[in-house]
Amino acid sequence: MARTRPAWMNLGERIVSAAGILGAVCLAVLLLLMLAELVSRNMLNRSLHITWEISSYLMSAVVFLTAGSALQHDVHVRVSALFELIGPRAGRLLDAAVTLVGFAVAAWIAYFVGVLAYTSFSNNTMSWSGFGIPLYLPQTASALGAAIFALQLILRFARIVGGYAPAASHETPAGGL
Amino acid sequence: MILPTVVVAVLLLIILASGLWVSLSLFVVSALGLSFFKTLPIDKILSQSVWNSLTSPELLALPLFILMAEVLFLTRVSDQLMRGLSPWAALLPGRLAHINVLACTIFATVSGSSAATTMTIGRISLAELGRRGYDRSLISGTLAGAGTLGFLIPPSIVMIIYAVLADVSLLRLFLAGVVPGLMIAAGFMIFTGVRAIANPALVPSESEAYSWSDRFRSLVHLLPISALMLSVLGSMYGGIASPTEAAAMGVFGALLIALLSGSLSFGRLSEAFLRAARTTSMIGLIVAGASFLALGMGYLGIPRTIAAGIAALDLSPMALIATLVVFYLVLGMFLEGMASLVLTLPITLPLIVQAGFDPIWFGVFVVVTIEMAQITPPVGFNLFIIQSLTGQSIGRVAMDAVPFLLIMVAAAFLLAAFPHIALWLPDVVMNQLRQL
Amino acid sequence: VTWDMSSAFPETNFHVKNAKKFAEEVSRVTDGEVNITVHSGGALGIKGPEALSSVRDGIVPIAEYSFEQQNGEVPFASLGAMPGLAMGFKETRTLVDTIRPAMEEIFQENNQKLLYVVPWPGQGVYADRPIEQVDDLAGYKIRAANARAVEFFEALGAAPVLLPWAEVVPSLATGVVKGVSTSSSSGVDGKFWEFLSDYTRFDWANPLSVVTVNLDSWNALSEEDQAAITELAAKLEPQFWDVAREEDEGNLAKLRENGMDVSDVSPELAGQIAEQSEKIWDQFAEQAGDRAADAISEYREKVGK
Ligand code: NA
Ligand code: NA
Repeated sequence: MARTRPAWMNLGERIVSAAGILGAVCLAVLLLLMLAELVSRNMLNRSLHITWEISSYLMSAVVFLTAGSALQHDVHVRVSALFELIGPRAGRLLDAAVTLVGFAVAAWIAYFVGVLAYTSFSNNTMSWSGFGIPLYLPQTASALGAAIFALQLILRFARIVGGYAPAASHETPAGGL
Repeated sequence: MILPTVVVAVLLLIILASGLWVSLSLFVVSALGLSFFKTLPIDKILSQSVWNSLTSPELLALPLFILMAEVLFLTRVSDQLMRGLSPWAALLPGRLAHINVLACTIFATVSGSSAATTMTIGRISLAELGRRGYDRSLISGTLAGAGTLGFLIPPSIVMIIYAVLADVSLLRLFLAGVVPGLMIAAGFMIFTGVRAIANPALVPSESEAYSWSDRFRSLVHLLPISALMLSVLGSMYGGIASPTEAAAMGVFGALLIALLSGSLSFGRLSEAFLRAARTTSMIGLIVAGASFLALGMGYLGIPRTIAAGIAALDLSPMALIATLVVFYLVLGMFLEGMASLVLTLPITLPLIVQAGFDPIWFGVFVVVTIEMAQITPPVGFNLFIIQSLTGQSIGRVAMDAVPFLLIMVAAAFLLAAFPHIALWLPDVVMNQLRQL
Repeated sequence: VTWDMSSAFPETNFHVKNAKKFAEEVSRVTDGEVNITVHSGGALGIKGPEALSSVRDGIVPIAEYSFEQQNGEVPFASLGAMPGLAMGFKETRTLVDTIRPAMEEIFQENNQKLLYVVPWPGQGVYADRPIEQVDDLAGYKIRAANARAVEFFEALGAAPVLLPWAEVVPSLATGVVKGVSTSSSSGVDGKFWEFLSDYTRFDWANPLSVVTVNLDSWNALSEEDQAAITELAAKLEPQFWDVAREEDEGNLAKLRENGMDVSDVSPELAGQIAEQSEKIWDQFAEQAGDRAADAISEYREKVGK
């Protein structure tokens, strides 16, 4: 029987879920922006110009901000053959180990994307297209998302080691592979 | 250059097998490979590579088509598809046993994913055909095979990823998938018909009686999906939207259908966006990891080493293709299709272009091999979905799918022998557009 | 030493051919002390706006890239393709000679040394009609590549649309855009004669491509090698400009061969371009700081614009 999760873990899971919602909002904005471009260009003969650029920043934000939430719902793919081979007890140990490695990788990515954002901020780097969008804004969103992904991995580690119940159920994405 | 190649390959196998998530594995392998053999600022290469790959405008069709699939999942499109097609399928030998192939082929024109196609059609058809007494093994086999068409018939998520990584025209690639997709669908139907004639016990004796007026009246059920196809293709060919923007029109169309069918609530809609965002995240991270791995391999000179090795074998083009089919089949048993695509492309693409094949053609060929991977055990997404829908074992479902797998293998060789099966349509369409 | 040189341009592009020629000659003049391997098509992951920072941070020791695309990092770089400022190779030569000291300073500040500068052929307009006067562009949907080009075509009364390059050919085929503003090279690459009938040689800018080397890598060379390479770059640069001119002429001939009408810009239109683009220069000079403002006014004095 799984134990009840402590409050700090619940808070962590809620932060991850909130970032996932933010990612979904970014996706909705991306869609609206594309549709707005189509309306403006075809009805007013005027392109919004920044649609593609902003959309591409939103794409990066969706990927990172939702990464933790995707892990909560077990959407990220992996090769699970070894787990089935070695049985549940050893499997749990292995799962804890790869989750810890995953945390290290995600934290590493978060740190370096963060450094990229900070460099853009201190050099006052603008987007190349010349519309004067400071690059550190979208880069910070991505770095933050990566950090939240790392948070979800450490929560997952604590959950496995502590024998707590998962926060969300597994899902098969209708739009996935 | 041999040592880095061996080290990276071994690392990749160990780390993937350990069960670390695929996207993160790609990052780890590339970073380790670079740090062993090169003195480069890996941190800066990593952050720049992640940023560049995820903000590449070519990738934007991906979240849009994923979103479209999630919104369509809220509608009754698949149910209506079955109703519209059944009276027509009843004319064929094997009757409704063809429904899976017909419905999947049509649904594939609005869905970018094989899993979505299999799931959407399967959740209606398996129960319905089973209830009518059709042979279970035949219907789960046709579903497993035809569901994979989601990738080959445009739009296609895998093709978007291929176009980004191989730097080819997405529109051309989409067009190149149409004829091979229809060819494979025809192959499935011929097989189904022959099976039904050879073994009448597979099809229930009770015959569904449809009159011709039933048939024409049933066409009304195909209106929503036709309207959706029209909103994507029409906006593009009508000069309203660029290819990527047409995907946004598709989402808009799907939302409209959901709204009109009364199945749209705020809760269900936000759930669709959340699920689409999660899938986008999963695929996006793999694309970012794959770009970083491709870059790492490039710095280490691995594609050149392997290409030189293969060139030294002096294989004929057909032998090369045969090798690749076997290679992808074996890889596809253990790796999910997209992962095997992104892992191998930095090596196989230069190889194949050097051998004189067209990169667009190779895109179609690779997609066919990825479709095979969807239905080979132990790791096959379509098998998982059918397992979850029917409760049968993976082994059983995989056995049902074997004839369809063989049809796809035959199709891959046909494609290699006659590349024009893929390349004919893009040329014709581009010529037509020119004359407008 | 062996340097990996990144080029953002495809293998068959004339800039890459120039770079390979340069690499070959570097081996020769340094007696094999310095060898350069050219990686084209952005194979080292450096494809555009990150090139300047990549050389600065030592991701690659040497790279070839579009100067103008670095404007997000250094605003001055917009001068690499400022609409209407330097039109055609002759004016571009004057522009480069004028701004070169400032460019060298900027590269120095970014831990790199400028080796040579070669322009692209001039930017013109591909359309389904000849563009003889500004009215011919009224409300015309034309693909533009960046904010500067958008401002320029908006000032001329057209309806510029910003699209990624990958979307351009299909968008042109289906009529999402009616025309494209780019060079003769890109027009041949995109086989624009399949969709359009006219190319008007606006030459509203000849975007600059630069080759720079990381200063740490550079300072590790012997003084003789440094001197030999500097001298070589200075010697080859004019030859590479000739290659660019020949490239333009060759491509214009290809456009004609394939049935396109190629025409020069009319005096009337040239006047309208000058008039409209002056505002863009002034606005830029105001935003981009003294160095850019001084460079522009010095250049304008020289050519009398
Ligand atoms: Na599809
Ligand atoms: Na498989």
